[in-house]
Amino acid sequence: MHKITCPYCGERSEEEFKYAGPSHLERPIPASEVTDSQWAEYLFMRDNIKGISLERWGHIHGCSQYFNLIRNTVTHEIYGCYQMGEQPPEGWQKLGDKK
Amino acid sequence: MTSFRLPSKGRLNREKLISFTFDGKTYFGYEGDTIASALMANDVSVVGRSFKYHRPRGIMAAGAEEANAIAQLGTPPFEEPNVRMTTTAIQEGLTLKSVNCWPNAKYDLLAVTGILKRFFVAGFYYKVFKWPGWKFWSPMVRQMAGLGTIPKENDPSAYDHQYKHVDVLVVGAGPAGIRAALEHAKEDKQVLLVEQDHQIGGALLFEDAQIFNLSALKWIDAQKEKLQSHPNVTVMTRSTAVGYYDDNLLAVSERLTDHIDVNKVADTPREKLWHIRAQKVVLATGAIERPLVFSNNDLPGIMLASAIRTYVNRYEVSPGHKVVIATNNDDAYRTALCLQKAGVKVVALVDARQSPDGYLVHAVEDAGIEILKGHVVTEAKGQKRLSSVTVSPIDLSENVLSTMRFNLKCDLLGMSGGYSPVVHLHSQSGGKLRFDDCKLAFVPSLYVQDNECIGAANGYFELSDILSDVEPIHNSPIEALWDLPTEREDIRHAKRWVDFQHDVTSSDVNLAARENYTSVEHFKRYTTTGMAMDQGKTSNINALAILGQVTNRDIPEVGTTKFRPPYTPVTMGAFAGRKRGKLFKPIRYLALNSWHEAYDAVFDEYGIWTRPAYYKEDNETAQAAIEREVLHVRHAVGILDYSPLGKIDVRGKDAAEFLHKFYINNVKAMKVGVARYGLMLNEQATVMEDGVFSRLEEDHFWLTTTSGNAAMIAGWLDEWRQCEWPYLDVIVTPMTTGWGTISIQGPKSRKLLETLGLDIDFANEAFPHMTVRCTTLGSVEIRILRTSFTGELGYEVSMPSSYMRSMWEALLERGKELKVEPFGVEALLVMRTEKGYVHVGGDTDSATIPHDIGFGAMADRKKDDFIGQRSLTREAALQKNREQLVGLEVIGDKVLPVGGIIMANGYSAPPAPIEGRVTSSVYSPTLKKPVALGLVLNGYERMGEVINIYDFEGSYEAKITSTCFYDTKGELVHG
Repeated sequence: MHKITCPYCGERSEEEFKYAGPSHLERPIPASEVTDSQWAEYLFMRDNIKGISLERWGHIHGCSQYFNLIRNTVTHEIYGCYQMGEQPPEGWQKLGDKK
Repeated sequence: MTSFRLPSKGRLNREKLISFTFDGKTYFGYEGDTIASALMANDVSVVGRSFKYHRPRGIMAAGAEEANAIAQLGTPPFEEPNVRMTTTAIQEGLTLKSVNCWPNAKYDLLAVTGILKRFFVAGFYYKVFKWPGWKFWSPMVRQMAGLGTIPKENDPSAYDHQYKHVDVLVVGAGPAGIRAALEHAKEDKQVLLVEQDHQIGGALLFEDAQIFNLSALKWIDAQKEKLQSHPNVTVMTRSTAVGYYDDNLLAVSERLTDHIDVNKVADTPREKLWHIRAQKVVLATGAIERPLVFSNNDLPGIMLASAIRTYVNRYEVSPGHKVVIATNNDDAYRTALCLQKAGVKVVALVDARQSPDGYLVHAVEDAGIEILKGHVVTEAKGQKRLSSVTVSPIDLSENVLSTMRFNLKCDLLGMSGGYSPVVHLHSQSGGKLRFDDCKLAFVPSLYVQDNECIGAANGYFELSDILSDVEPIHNSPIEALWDLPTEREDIRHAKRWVDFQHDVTSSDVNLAARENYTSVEHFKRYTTTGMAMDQGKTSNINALAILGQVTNRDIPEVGTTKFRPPYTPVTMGAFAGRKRGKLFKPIRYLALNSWHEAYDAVFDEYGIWTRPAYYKEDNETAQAAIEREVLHVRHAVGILDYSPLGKIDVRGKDAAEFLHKFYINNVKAMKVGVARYGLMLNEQATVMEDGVFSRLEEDHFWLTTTSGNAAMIAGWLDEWRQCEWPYLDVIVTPMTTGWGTISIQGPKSRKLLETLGLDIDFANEAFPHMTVRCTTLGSVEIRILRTSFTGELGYEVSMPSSYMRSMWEALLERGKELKVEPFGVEALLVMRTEKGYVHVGGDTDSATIPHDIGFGAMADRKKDDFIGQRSLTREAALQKNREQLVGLEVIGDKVLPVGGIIMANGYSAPPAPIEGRVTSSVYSPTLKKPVALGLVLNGYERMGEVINIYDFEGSYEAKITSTCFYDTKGELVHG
């Protein structure tokens, strides 16, 4: 059971949150210009990340705000979060490396 | 009492005799006894039967690692299966039953089936029961094998969950844990010390030790005082840390009342499951002694050497009169000294090592006890109790067993194969282990959370390693003795037990290896080693060491399986906590619930809400009541408590643009005061929600949703708002529970509303169908939506929930002359089915798109982007063969079964290709015949076709029609 630091409320138990899929998924529009394969990519194809994953989480039993979380799927380590619409901090791919 | 009870040294309260029954026989013990120690004092050697072969088994340990001595505790409804006798105190009137035997442990008739051995070899689940199939075998196997029986009655005791945050959590109150707790407390940390035993002290509760100038017990007393007086420390006894999860969350199972009276409902919960979040975790969980592997090593009278010390010193009972000790390390020498001090005869100490020369070895020699160096016990003999052991010389360096053998008469064998640190919680935390070749044990290596293992849990087994006040002694090193060399015929064919609780032998390990189950995770499942309720506390290391020997790998190469929670069994009651019966899940009552009750409503659960299904008059049946309510609405006027209707406010400059992206309707074109029936899709184009939404102001929309979707849709809108279109100026406010709704339906509903004297013109032209009006009554905000889910003229009147009662009563009072009556959900569902109004989720499934329920043209007309739009042009959406919602006009008078299967054309009985199913079906009191809706393959092209339907009850015929059976021109709603 993770402790997750909501950027608005602070440290809370995982029970209060919802995982809402991978971050930075581009929704292709307009429909008339989107090919079947582009649409299938958006709709169904997901990376099964081993290591550092950028994820959308919602504090649905708290402030109801969504944010992005940087999480290691192997060690379960959480490195931090950033707001919706923002890009992950530079060098996020190397966060898991031992100092 | 028998001669097994030792003279008093003050550890038991000899003033207080306690009686209890085991397998129907009454025994006596003293206050302070565990069930195990009391049975031992009563010379009960067989306390249970083994899992597969029903072999007689005795007490082998003195703590949580006990594999044999488990019992069904207490009487219904309080009974608990598989309680360890070694950790449970006796109490007056306690009843115990041995497990897995009949009629009792001593005379188990099931044991006669020696034939069982043939069946239950490693992997028997996969091998033996192939023909005629597991279904044939399982009743028999279930009867013969297994441990304990599930209680059949509900336990009336309370169970609870509690949460706690601490700076430091110390698990285990032995010398290491106590020291750590006090040290952290000194640094001004809030410390919680949890201990599974009912008192602190750990191994010092039974070891002879001198700490500075204090005896072990005096030292414990002194520490107890220090801990109690320290404001930063909380000590919880009878509390086992059973699970270690992410971010230092530990589950601790606390037993609060069982030691007072098992068979009684107490004022406090019987057990609590604590969720403890700690900044730092200190694991001082100790170590568990390993058994030795030799022939018949499961005979009653064979136990762990340290357990003997526990019984002698802590429980003042000797498990035997003539004792042999077998070991490969120095620690077991302590048992010899302890027994001699207690006046019990030690026949010999059999040490597999050639020339041990530690301090303890010399002490035993000096005490005049015979030490057989370079010898091992190869076999135990006896019927239901050990009577002698066979001993042979061994050369450990060459792994050669001599053919020479001799017998030693004894009634107790203490064995020690060394110690395994209790690394279960460390492993659960994600931490890694390494095999220490000197200590012959897995010890913690890599930590991934903020925790540390100390003391014996970290491989430091000597007290002097932990407490600086203790004089260190010289020990001779432990030498590996995992299994006996198998060159000798008598050894090769004998059963040497590795996992006592799951009845796994050394030959099972060999067999699994021969059959190539050599990966430790495969091996575990194939042989079921370590998968019993003791989780292999005494067996795992022996098993994988033997697996390594057989497959010519060293132990690190074999590795361990991952330890999983719980460390010791946790009752289902503790997991459930308060979530039982009525508290299992929250029940939502309507604001008007008490009114409905008083008016003889018959309630039912609709999703999360408890709502009136119908109101009962006199002795009428449910069917009659529902029909009465339907006809009353159709001919006069009825009111329905419609409060669970989902209600969402959407406001903001960009509200129209925002909602335009969700509904398949053209939201931007809507005028203020107008309402629309709308569909929302998900990105797969599945219809996920329908409902009426209206534009109250330019920048203010009001959405009503299906009751069951209320929270989901509000969340759905808000997630898209925040994550996809954060630039839109819009706020989504769920208001379902804050506002109540009364649905007024029937030809006289306008007249009824007019009695309220609102400043609204209800005339048809002024307030037409599918429009909305807002007003206030006094200071109360009211929203009136002219809409219908019944097919009659209708309105939905919404207001803050607290005004529901006055509005409801006012309508009934003022509508007396109009003969207004309340109606329930069932009547509504009948009327909407008569009318063919779709129920999303009931009449649709995860493949249904708007085109399948008659809204294809609307969706196709809309060119602007909306959620799900692109998926409407996927191949699957465009193909011809789709299930479409149609009406089913029943031929005959039987009501179709919901879920009834529609067979392909030309079939009148199964087996037949399936072409759809009945989704809604009612008897229509209005039309005086049954009507139904169904999803039918290519339904729209098959109007008028007669189809065959079947379910388990029989077969039916129906004609495919349009979905609307009542007022097909739709004039009434406009009346």
